[in-house]
Amino acid sequence: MRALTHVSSLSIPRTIGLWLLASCFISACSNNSDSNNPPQETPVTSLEVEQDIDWLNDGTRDVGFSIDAIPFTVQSDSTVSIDVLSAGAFNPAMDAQIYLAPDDGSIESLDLVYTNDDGEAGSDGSTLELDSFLSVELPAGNYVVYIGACCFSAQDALNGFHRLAESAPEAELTPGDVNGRYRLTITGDVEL
Amino acid sequence: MPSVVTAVLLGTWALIPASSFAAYPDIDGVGACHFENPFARTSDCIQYTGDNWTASTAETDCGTLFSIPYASEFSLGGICSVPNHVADCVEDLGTADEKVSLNNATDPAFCSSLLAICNSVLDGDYFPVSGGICDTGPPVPGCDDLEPEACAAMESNDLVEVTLEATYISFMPLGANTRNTGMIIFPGGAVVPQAYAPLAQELAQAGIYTAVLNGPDANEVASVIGAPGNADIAEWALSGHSLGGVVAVKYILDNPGTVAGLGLLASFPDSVDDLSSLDLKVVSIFGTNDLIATPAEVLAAVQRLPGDTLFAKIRGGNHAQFGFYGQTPTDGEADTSALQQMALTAASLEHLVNRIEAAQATPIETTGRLGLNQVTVEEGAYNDFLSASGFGQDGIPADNIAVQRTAGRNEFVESKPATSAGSAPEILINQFVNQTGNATQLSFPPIYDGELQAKFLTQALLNEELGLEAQSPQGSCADANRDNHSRTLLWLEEAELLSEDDLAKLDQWQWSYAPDVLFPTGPEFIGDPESTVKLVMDSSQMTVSVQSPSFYADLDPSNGAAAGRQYCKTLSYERFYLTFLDMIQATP
Repeated sequence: MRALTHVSSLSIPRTIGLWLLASCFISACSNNSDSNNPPQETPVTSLEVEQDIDWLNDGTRDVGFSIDAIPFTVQSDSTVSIDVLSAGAFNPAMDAQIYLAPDDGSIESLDLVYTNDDGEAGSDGSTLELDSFLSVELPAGNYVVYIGACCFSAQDALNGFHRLAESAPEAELTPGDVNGRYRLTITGDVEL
Repeated sequence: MPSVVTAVLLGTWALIPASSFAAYPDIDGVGACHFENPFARTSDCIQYTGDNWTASTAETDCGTLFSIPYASEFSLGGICSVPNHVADCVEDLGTADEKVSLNNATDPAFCSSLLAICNSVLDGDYFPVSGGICDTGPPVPGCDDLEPEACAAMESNDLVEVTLEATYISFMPLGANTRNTGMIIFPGGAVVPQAYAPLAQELAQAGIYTAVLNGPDANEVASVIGAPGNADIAEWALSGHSLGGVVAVKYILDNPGTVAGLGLLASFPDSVDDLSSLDLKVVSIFGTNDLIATPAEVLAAVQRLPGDTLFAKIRGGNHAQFGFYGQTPTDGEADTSALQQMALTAASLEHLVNRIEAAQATPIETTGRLGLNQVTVEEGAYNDFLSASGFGQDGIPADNIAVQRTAGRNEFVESKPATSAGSAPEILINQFVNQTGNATQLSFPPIYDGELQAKFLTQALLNEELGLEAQSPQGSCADANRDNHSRTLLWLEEAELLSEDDLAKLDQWQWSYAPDVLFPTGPEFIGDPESTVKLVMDSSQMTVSVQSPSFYADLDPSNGAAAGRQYCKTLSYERFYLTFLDMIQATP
């Protein structure tokens, strides 16, 4: 159990996922046979990221949870699926939510933003539909998946933090809590 | 020793050992354990009175009461003393393992929870201090001490009779649609029972007899079930908020087969309690902004719940808004109203009752009439029916159960604005309620599992008759809607959810189908049976084209149209069910 850490919203870089990846499980495998994959002519890579969403509580200000940002690149115009495994699979688990946006540092100004809270179970081993899922056609380019526990806004995603309450000294978040562990699988003609 | 789970769910206090031994006189023993209760933040004490306790075992117990940091001091030969002694809880009374927890409290609202923890969690015997604040039973606050919503819900009305019994508050439905499953609500720790009156009113108005226990005390369940007025209730479900859920789980484990369902409201089984092997319908309802029983903690209990447990989340909901008793300082800030959270909770519990009653239903025979034209067919004559009704001619209606179910879910998933480009508005509806088809009128009509069972059985028989392999649906939305229309009529009739009179009224209407329709969210039908009903879709909304000027339909197009996207949508079975009910009501 890790101690609660104060991370202000401003101090969380949008690429928090990258520097957390040092302690993550990352793998890439080709030619995934999942039925949701794009057509055969599209190169297919399955990227997996496994890490934690943390409770944040500085004891004097905000209580909430972190939001990870996982950047990736779509190599060619293609269908990309983003699948989250957490609820029912990990302990601690979370009720995940994801945003997908082009990697230009702003969600609001974009004309292409996808979000999903409860998706389809099963394709990545999910047993509960609380896990998120997206399957979208994407032009080639750089993108970011923002992932956290439901329910955060696009602005929260940019800030890397979702506030739930004003912190009080007696806040009963179990010290050092991990809010939830997840595995994110990105499938398509993609690379991290 | 209380489990950490129980203590955490109590909020700002937990097991509360207290001050001198006025309540339970046997004060000798190997020693005393004074400790700082990490949850109550009080100075509490346990006296080790049984002969089996040694200095070593007592000191070890004293140092391991909780799994999070706290300060304790074992005093060999010492005697407990705490400042606000209100009651004692004696574990293993009269045995060599006996130990006594001295309860310490200043607020009488805690008394019912102290009693509940002692009886139901610690399996102990409770001794209130004579003349103390816990010696007179739980307080019955007047309206001035209640939230306005709670006060209002304590009043009887045309639909519900509210009565104060000795150990619970009774909410008796007065309407004709009384269900045969009753609901017993366990309050959270230190929460007055009246705080759950709005929820109980909502359930009772839906025909579900509801009792709110005075406190989370499992011993009082029998007083509800055994009440003379409740003799006609065939099945019981328990629901518990926070600590109340923990206690309800323990009751179920201690009394197997007594209840058929469980609703956990921001709660989960104690770490030593496992319901996974029980034949029990469970819904676990949680708020995404709950910082006392967090979603992560709720989900962590999934392995200790039955495999078909439903998780119902309330977006923006917090811990305190499962009742009406004000905010808890350590809770998350709600991002939805208390009334909305209560309504969604009630809908989820009503759905639980539906599941319980569906499980009791007689298996449905799949012979009889099929379809729009009310062609009566005998078993084995489905092909004749298909020919007469047009069912299946344009498309292949064969799809296995999984595909059919998935198709229904995808219909909703695709229509969620949150998955569309350009915007991400919040959806304040439980997903599972949407999956069962009644997205906007959460409490009516009931969607029975038995209906789905009938659908699946019918589909399986059709597949067999047609010699078709399972495959994805083909054809247009019009085909699918015609199929759904026909099948809905079949299982409504065979589930006896529509009477012969109802079916005769439906016979007077004529239907046709446009190629594409948007998923409707709020229909209001006013019409006459001479009308021809045609479902059509224009660029922005679903409309109903009719030939009678007296017909009017208002279907909210916001789901699909808000994002400027159009889908080929089939109307769900449940939507047809709703439509049929509207049409029956509109038919003289």
